[in-house]
Amino acid sequence: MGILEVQDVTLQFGGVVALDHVSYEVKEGEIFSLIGPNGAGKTSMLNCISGLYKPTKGSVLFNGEDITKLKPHKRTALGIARAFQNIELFPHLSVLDNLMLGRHVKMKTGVLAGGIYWGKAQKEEVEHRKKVEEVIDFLELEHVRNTPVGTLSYGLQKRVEVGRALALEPSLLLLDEPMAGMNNEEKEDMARFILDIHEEKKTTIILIEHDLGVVMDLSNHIAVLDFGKLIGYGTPKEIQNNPRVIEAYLGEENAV
Amino acid sequence: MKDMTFPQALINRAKTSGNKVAIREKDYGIWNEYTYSDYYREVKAVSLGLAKLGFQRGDKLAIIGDNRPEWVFSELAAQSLGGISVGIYQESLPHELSYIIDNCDAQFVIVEDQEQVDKLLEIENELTKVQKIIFYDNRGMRNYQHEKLMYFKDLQSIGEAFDKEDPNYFEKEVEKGKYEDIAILSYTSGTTGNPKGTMLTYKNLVEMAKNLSKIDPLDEKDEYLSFLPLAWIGEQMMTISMAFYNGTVVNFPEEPSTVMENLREIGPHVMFSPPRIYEDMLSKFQVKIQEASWLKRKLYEWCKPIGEKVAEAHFNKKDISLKNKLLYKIADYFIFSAIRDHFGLLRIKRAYTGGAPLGPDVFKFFHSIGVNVKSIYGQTEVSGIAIVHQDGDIKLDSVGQPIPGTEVMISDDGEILIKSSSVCHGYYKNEESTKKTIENGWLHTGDAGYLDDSGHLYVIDRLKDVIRLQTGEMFSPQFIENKLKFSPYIKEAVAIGRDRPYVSAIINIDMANVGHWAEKNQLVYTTYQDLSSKKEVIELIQQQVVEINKQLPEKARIKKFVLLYKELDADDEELTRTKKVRRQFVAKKYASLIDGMYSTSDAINVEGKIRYRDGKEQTIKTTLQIVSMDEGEGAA
Repeated sequence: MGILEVQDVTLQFGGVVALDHVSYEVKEGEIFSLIGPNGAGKTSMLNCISGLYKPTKGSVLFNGEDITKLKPHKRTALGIARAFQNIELFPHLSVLDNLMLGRHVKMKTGVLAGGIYWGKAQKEEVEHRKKVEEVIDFLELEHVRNTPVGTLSYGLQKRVEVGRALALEPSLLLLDEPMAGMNNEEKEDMARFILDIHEEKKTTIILIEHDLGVVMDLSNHIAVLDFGKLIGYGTPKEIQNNPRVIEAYLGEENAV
Repeated sequence: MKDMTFPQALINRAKTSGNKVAIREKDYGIWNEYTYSDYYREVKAVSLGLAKLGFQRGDKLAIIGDNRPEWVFSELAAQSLGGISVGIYQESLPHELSYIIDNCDAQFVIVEDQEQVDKLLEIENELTKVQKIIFYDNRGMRNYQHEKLMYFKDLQSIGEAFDKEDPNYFEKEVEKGKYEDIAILSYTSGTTGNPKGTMLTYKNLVEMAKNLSKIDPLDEKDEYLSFLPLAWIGEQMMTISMAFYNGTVVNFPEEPSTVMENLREIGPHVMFSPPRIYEDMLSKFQVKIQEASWLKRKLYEWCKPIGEKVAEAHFNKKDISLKNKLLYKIADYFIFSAIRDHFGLLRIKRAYTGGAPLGPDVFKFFHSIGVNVKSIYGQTEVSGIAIVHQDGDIKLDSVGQPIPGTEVMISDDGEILIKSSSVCHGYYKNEESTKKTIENGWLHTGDAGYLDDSGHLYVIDRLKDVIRLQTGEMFSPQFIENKLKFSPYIKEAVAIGRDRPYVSAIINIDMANVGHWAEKNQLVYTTYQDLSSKKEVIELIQQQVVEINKQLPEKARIKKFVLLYKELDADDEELTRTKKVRRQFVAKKYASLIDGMYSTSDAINVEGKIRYRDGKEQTIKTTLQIVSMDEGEGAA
């Protein structure tokens, strides 16, 4: 039984079938990639896992528990964190503040204690700051710690976005196109960070990515979606040789 | 204070002021302190660990990494056992590392992180003498299985276990150290040929600190930020020599990228850097003040002349009238102290500059805002500093006067010779070079210069580089280059003219500042190469050269220049690791380009190789425009 199980999930918006009876399993501690042409349903899939969408049919299980109907913030509390494709940071807040926001779900002291900021509240703040500093160190963000996020380059903003997800200390990390819009050097940096997260924190990672070179290099298993259907699942090698996948990406003529 | 080796000085300080802060490092956002007791403990653990691994008296320990306490602990650890530390620049390429590590016969190497380990593993077959590679940042190292690799903390654990078995071993070994023993091997940057290992003893290094402190005293309350490579003699001098002698606190920045921020946080009392850092600060200021609000700009414009007047008075040793003193105090309150604070220079007693000449305009700027910038002159071979400007006795074009215990002489062909107790013992395993460099105790610096009546030394340039035009005139290329680099839009420049009819220049634009200018002028650009070839940028630089030509003697004026398509870089061997231009190499590499500048063409096709930081290479084919300065714009 994997850390995440997607069981016969169908997602329908009126006449549009975004996901069509999709089933697969993600093993604990692996890097799992979701690939497919644009519009295949990858982000919709991620939304079902993180709780933004509720599947029309089917269920999502996390560590054996049925979370299909659970609200997003409850899933975060269980250990699922998400980095968004279009960056959901607060541009006027510093990197540090954005990361501290990621700790919100773990903060216990209420408004009153926080407002007066004595004893327990202060202790909690220090603890969370410590964890956030570890993320800053891990992602090499020291030099922009106090910079408003909106003034950073795109590549750095993406890194902070991943950092915010990391600050939650997740057991399952959902990365939605973390390398979009980056040049080769930035991609290599991000790939290195993903590997570091995987190796050092033993986090299970679900990755949506278009750069197939990166996907083949990093993934343990790959699931391929096309028009909402799962058309392939396997190791990178198996997927590379899968005729249905080749056809979906390169067209019928190229299928063997 | 008795003549002590560094380990002996450490034990002494740990005994007499064990609770005093010796070192600080910023980590995870906060400044962590190490007292002298902590320092002692850490060094002992590393030292005994090395001893257990078989480190013997006279063995060499190579150290490669950014400025961190572990670097310094490692150096002291080797020295405690009677060994010699060899600092290597952390940006060195594998083949450079291979040469130095083999040349110095190091059996043990302590490095910072995965990057350095990877470089060493790449050349593993050439490092036949190396027994162990020890790393102190274990990030990313979990999957490395190699019998030669060891984690720093594990080394310290071995050392601590040894200490329990034999608690007196460490102190006994340190006792054996003698003042005349060799402490470090410092490989000189080698603008020509392979780097040479300069052998410096404790006496060399401590005597220099002693002599410098006689005229520029520091004490235990002073703070210093160590951010330049510890492989550089200047940094060794301040972080180890001066710090142990005076008890100054050494602060290590969080990361190389946070140095400017950390400088502001610490506000050190003393600073030592090559001219580039000061030039960069000035360039940043020039750009920032242009964009500042009307009020700030006007304020600076009003206060600027007062600052300059006071600076002038300093340089000419004239008294300042009461009125001007008062005006300066007001100017300082309103703006100068703010500028200083912005750069972290609020508490600076002395800001030394050395390694290459600092342009007079940069000097004037810093003094006008109240920063006591002073030149020093020296070399690795004389333990760093031999000549310095005394406080209050600063002549803009000189490099100062000899520190106590130092004699200076000019040879018949104009070479500067120095004699002092800080002159090194020679080059490691290189008798020939040693004989050529040190004669009867006099160090041949290789620099051309002259002394004036008040004992101030003036450096013209490297003896080999002083340029003689075809017409016979002599000039210093560095003088011209400094003038060019004073412009915020010019990052680097190479002046050419040896055996040629006139002076020409290869110029690197400053990407950040020119890019900024381009954006403000609605100019679209992509890469460095693209920006350097834009007509508007060429005109911008041309204007700069026109201004600079006005300040140069007629024959030394730049007649033609090109904007190079790539920045000169140490990785391409065009600059040394301390960012000095390697003239002979550049002349050879860009020979056809230079020939083009002395032809009648106004453009030249070039083909060059660019190597990116990740190792990929690309050939660039482009046409460089050769810009001619018209008659009347200052051409000869």
